[in-house]
Amino acid sequence: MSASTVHRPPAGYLLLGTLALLAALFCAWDALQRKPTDGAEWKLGKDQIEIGGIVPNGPADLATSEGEPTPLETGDVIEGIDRKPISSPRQAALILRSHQVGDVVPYMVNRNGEIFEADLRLASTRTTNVTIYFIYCGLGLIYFLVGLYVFWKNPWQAPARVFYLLGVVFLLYFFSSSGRSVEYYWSQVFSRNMAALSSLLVPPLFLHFFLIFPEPRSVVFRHKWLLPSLYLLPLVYYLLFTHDQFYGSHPASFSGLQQMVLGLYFTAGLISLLATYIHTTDTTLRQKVKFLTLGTVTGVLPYLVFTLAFEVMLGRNDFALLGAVPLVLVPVSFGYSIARYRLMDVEVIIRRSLIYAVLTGLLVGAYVLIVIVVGNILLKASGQTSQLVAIVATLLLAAVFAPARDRIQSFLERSFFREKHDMQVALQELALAIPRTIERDALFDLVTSRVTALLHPQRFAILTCEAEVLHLPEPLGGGSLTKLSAYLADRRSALLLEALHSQLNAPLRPESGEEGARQRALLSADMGKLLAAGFEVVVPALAGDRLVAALCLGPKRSEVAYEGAELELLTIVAGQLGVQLENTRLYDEAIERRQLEEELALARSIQQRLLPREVPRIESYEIAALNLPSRQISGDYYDFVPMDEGRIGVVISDVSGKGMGASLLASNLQASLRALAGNHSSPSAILRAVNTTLYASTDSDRFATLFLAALEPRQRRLIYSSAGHNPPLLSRADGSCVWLEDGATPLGAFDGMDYPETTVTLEAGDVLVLYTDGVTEAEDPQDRQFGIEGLQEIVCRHHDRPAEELTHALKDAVFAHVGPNRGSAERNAGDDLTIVVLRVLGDETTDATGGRPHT
Amino acid sequence: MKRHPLPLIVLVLAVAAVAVWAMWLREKPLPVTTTSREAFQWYEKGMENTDKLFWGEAVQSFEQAVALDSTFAMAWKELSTARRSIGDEEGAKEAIERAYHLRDEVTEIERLLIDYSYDLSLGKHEESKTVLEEMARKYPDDVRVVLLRARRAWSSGDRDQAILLYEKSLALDPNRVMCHNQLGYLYLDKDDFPTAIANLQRYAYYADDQPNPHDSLGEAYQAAGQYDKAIQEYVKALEIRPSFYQSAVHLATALAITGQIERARYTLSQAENAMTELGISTRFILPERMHVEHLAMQPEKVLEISDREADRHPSDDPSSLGNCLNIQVYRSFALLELHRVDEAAVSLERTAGYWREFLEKWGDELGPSSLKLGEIVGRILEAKLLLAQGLAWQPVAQEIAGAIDQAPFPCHRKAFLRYDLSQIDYDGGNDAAALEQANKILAVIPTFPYLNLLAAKAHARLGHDEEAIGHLKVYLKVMAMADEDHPGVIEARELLARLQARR
Repeated sequence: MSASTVHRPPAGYLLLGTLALLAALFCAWDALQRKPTDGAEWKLGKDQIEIGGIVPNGPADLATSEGEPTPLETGDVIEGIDRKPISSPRQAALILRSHQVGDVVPYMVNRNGEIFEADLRLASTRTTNVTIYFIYCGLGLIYFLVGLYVFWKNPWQAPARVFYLLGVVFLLYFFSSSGRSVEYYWSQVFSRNMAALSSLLVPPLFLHFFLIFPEPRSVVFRHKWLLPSLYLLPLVYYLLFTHDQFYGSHPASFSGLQQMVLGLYFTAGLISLLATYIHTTDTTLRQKVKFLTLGTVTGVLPYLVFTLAFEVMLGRNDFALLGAVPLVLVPVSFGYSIARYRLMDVEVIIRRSLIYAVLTGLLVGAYVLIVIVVGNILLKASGQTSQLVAIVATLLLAAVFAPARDRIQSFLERSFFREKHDMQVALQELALAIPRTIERDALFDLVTSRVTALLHPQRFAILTCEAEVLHLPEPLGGGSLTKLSAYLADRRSALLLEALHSQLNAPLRPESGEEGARQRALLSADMGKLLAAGFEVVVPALAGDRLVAALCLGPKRSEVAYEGAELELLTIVAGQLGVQLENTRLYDEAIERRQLEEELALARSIQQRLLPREVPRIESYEIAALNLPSRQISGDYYDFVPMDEGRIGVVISDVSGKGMGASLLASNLQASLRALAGNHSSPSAILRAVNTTLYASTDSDRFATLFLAALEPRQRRLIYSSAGHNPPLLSRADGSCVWLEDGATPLGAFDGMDYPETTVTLEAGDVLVLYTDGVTEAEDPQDRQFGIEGLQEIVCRHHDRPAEELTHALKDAVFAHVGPNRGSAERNAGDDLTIVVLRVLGDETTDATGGRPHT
Repeated sequence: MKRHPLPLIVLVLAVAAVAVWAMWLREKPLPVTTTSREAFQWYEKGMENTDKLFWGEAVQSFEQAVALDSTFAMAWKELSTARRSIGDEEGAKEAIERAYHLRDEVTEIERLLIDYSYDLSLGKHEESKTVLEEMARKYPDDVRVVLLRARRAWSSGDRDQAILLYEKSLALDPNRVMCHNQLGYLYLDKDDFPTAIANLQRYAYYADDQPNPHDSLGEAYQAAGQYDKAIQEYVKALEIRPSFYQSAVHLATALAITGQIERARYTLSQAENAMTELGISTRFILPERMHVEHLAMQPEKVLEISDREADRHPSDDPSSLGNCLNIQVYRSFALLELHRVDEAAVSLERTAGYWREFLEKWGDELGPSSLKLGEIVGRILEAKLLLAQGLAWQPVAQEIAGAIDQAPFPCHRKAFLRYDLSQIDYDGGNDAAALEQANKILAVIPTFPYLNLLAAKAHARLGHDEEAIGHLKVYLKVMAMADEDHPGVIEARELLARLQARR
C-alpha cells in the first residue's frame, strides 16, 4: 500500500494524549512523594496564605490536647512557619521541605486579627492508601491504552476519537484521584485541578460517545447544538470550582447537586446505549454491542450508586473503591468486543501466531498442572508409589481430560479467531437472504451492509449494467466519487463492463508500487479511472458467462490488505449477486409484460365496444365493415349514426397514438359525435362542433382523423366532410373512380376550424370504400406500402362482388402484401386495419324499412 | 512525507528544560559591592546579629568581613554602627571614615547610605536629611532607604508616617522583622494595644531566639494591663539570655504591680548579679529597686535603699545624674507617704536641683514627652507636699490634671501620673476628682490595679458600694498571685468584706 493512503492520526489528538500522559505521570509521581505537610488547604490568588480548608485528621486538625481547639481553622491566615515570614505558598513549601515528616514546626497564625502561635507535627503528602491508588492508576492506564489503540487504528472516525478522549480523561481522572488535599505545593494544585477537570469531562464525554456510538442518534442530526452543549455545564462547574479555589469561603469541591447532574450524564449515556441495543434491527450490530452493553452497564451502575449516590446523599466515600473498580469493565468490554468483533472497525494486530501461542501455552500449562495435581491426589489416595503407576495414571487422566481441552481450544478459536467463522456465517446468511430479495435496491443494500460490516472497506460501490451508473451507498461512496460516477454514466457502464469482462475472470487486485502501476497501465482507461478513484479490489458478478455487475472495494479501514479468504468470500457474494440480479431482471420483465398485456386487453375491449354490433340494413344498399386491431391498439373505429330525416351518418376515424390512450380518445370522440349529430344536420357543422369539444378536452398532440358522410338513401345522395382522413374511394358503376378528398385538418389539432361539405350523387352499382391508413400504409418485407393504387386495383377488380366479399378481398390483399408472418389476425406490429364498404343496389333490392338503418 | 510532531515536541521541551536549569544554576550577583564572597557572608552574618541587637557579635562579624576585603565599604559602615552601639565611639568614627573614603568605589545607593551615616556621625543633621531625601527620590523602594525614612519620621514625632514606612519596609522585605518591633512601639504610643501586641507577637515569633522581642512584647502586655502574659514574656526573655537585665527590670516591675514583691526583689537581685558578671555598673539597678518598693507601697524600704545613696552626689559619677534624680524622686514620694513633711520638703528641694542640673546637661537631647513627664512628676510632688502641709493643693492639682491631659504621650504612660494625682484628690477628700482621673485610665486599661483600688475606696466613701465591689474584684483578680502581706491586697480584702457585710 502506498504511503499516501496511510491515514495517520491527527497530531493534535496525539499531542493532547502525550500531554495528558505526562500530566498523569506527574500526578502519580507527586502522589507518591513524602513531602512534609501541615494538612492545611490554602486559597489561590491571595497575597497571603489563607486557609481554605483543613484536611480531616491532618496535623492542622489535631488539637495538641483534648478540649483544645484545633491548631488551624478555615479562614486563618498563616503569617509565619518555622519562625520565618510567609507571604507565598512557594515560601511555605520551601520551608516545609526543609523539615522531615514528624517534625514539630511553630506556626504564626492570624485568626480574625488575633495573633497566636501553634505547633504542628508535620505529616506526609504521600497518598494514604498506595494499593488503592495503584489500582486506580491501573484502571486509568487500561482506559488510556484501549482508547489509544482504537484511535490509532481508526483516527478519522468520530466515535473512535471521542472514545480516545474518554480514555485520556479517565487516565487523568484516576491518576489525579489520589484522595489528597491541596497544600502549598503547586504540584498538588495541579493534581487537584486535573482531578476536577477530568471528573467534569468524563460524564459529558461518556454521554457524547454513546450518542454517536454505535450509530449516531437521530437527535444528534436534528439538533446540531446538542453535542457541544453537553460540555457547557461542566465548563460552568469548573469555573465555579476555580472561583472557589481563589475566593471561596470553603474548600473548592463539587456540590451534591452538581454531582447528581453529572450522574445524570452517565445515566443518559447508559440509556442511549441500551436503547440502541434494544431497538436495533441489525443483528450484526446487535451482536457487536451485546458484550459492550453488558460491560458498560455493569461497570457504570456501581459507580453511580457507590461513588456518586453515596457521596451525595450520605456524604460517605467508604465505598468509592467499590464504585470505581467495576469501571474497568467498560474498557475491558470494549477491548473484548474489538478483539472479537472488530468493534469500531478496529482489528487487533496481534494475530494468531502470538495470541494463539500464549493462550494455547496457558491452556496446555493449566491442563498439565491439573493432570499432575489430580494424578498425585489419586496416587496418594491409593497409596501407590510406583513410577509406572504414576505414568499410567497420568496418561489415563490425560485421555479423560483431552475432550475438555479440545472443547476449550475450540472455544478459544471461536472467541478470538472468528474471521473464518464470521465469513461462513455471513455466507450462510447471504445465501438465505439473497434469493429472498427481489427488489434491486434492497439487494444492493443487503450486499452493501453485509460486505462492509465484514470487511470494513473505506469505499464500496456496486457497478451494474442495468442502471449504467455506480451504486454508491452513503457514506462509503459519494462525495469524491461523484465525478467518477458522472464519468461512468457518460461512458455508459455497460461499455465499461465489456472492458472489464475481458480482464476479469477473478478479483482484480493491483499491487502497490511499481508493479501496481504497471498493472494499472495494462488496464483499460475506464478501469484505470475506477482504480484511481480509490477502489482497490474489483470483483466480477457473473450470470452464467455474462458480466452483469462488479463489486468495487476501497482499501480496508484497518489498512490491512485483503486476504485470500476475504477475496474468496467476495467472489462467492458477487456470484450470488450476479445470479440474483439476472433473476431480478427477468422478474421485472415478466411483470412489465403482464402489465402491458392487461392494458392492451382493456384497450381492445374499449375499442370493440365502439364498433357497432352489426351494420345497418338499408333498402337498395349493401354495407359491410371490418376492423382488425393491431397488438398495440391504434384507435381506429367506424360507426353508423342515425341522423335527421332518415339520413344515416357513416363514420370512419383513426385516432393518433396507440394503446389505452388512443382507445380512450376514440371513445370520447364517438360519444361527442353521437351527441352532436342530433343537434346539427350537416356533417360540416358536426365536425366543427366535435373539433371544438375535442380541442378543449385533449392535449395538442392528441388528435384524430375522421370522415363523416350523411347518406340520404332515397335521394341516393351523399353529403360528406373529412377531418384529414384518408380519402374514401367511390368506385362508379361505369368503372370510373372518385377520391372523396375534400376536407380540412384532423379533429383536435386546431381550434375553430371549418370543415367543407361536398355532395355526391350515387348511382346503382356504385361502391364506396372507406378505410384507415392500416390499409394503404401496410408494408411488405421490402418496406413498400400497399398504397392507394393497391386499394383501387382491388376495388376495381372486385367491384361487382357483394360488399362483404369486397371487404375480405381487400383485407386478404393487404395481408398478402405484408407477408405471411406479419399478416395474421394476431398481428404483432403495424396498424389497425379498418374497412367500410357501401354498395348501391338496384331498386328491386331496396329494404322495406324505407332506408332507416338498423342499429 | 508528513513528519511526526512528537520528536519535535520532545526536543523543544528538552531544550526548554536545559535552559531553565542553566538559569537556575547561574550565580546570582552580590547585592553589595565587595570582591570577596566570603566577606559578603560575614557581612550577612553581621547584619543578622544587628537585627538581633547582638552588637558584640555584630562587631566581630563585620570586622571579619573587612579583614577579608578591606575595600568593603558597606561592611565598614555597618561596623561603625555596631561599634557605636557598644560604646566604642572611636572605633565607630574610624570605621565610618574608612567607609567614607571608599564611597567612590561603590554603587550610588551605597554611596548615599554611607554619606548619610557619615553626616549623622558628624552631627550634620541637615546634610543627612538632604541625603535621605535624595535617596528617597532616587530609590523609593530600597528597603534600607525606607527604614531610614521611617526612623527619622518616628524621631520627629510623625508616628503615622513612621507606621506607613515600616509597613512598606515589611512589604518590600518581610525578613526585616525588626520592623514589627518598631511598629509595636508605634502602635503602643497610639494606645492601640491589640495592633501593638500583634506586631510584637510577630516580632517575638520571628526572632524567638532573641530576648528583646519577648521583652518588647512583655512591655506591650504590661501596658495593656495583661500582667500575667507580660510576666511570661519577660521570663522567656531571661530564659533566652539571663544577662538581659532590661527584662529583669521589667519583670520586677510587673511582679511588683501584681503584688509579687518577694519575687520582684529576687528578680532584681538576679539582674544585679548578671550585670556584675557582665561588668555593667549595678548602680543603674538601684532606682529600679526603689521603684519596686514604691510599687509595693513600702515607703520604709524605699527610704532604706535611698539612705545608702542619699549622700552620693552625681558629681562623683557624672553619668549617673539621671540615676540620682530618680532616687531622689522615689525618696520624696516615700517621705511624703510617711508624712515626714519636713524631710520631704528637703528631698523635693534636692530633686528640683537635680532636675535643673539634668535639664542643663541633657535638656537639648530630651524629647518633649520626657520634659513634660519630668515637669508633671515635679508638680505632683509639689501638690503632695502642699496637701501634707495643709496648704491649698487644689489649684496645683488642677494644673497637673490639665498638664496630664495635654501631655504628648499615650494613655498607658499616664497611668501612674493619674494614679498619683487621683491619690492626692482622694487624700484631699475630693473623691469625684479622684474617680475622674481613675476612670480615664480604667477606660483604657481596666485591669490597672492601683486605680482599681483607689476607685473602690472612693466609691466606697461615696456610698457606691456596687461600683466599689466591682473595682475590688478586678483588683483582687489581678493581684491573685500577690504576696499575702501585700498592704494593698490586705486593704482591698478588708474593704470588700466590709462592703459585702454592709450589703
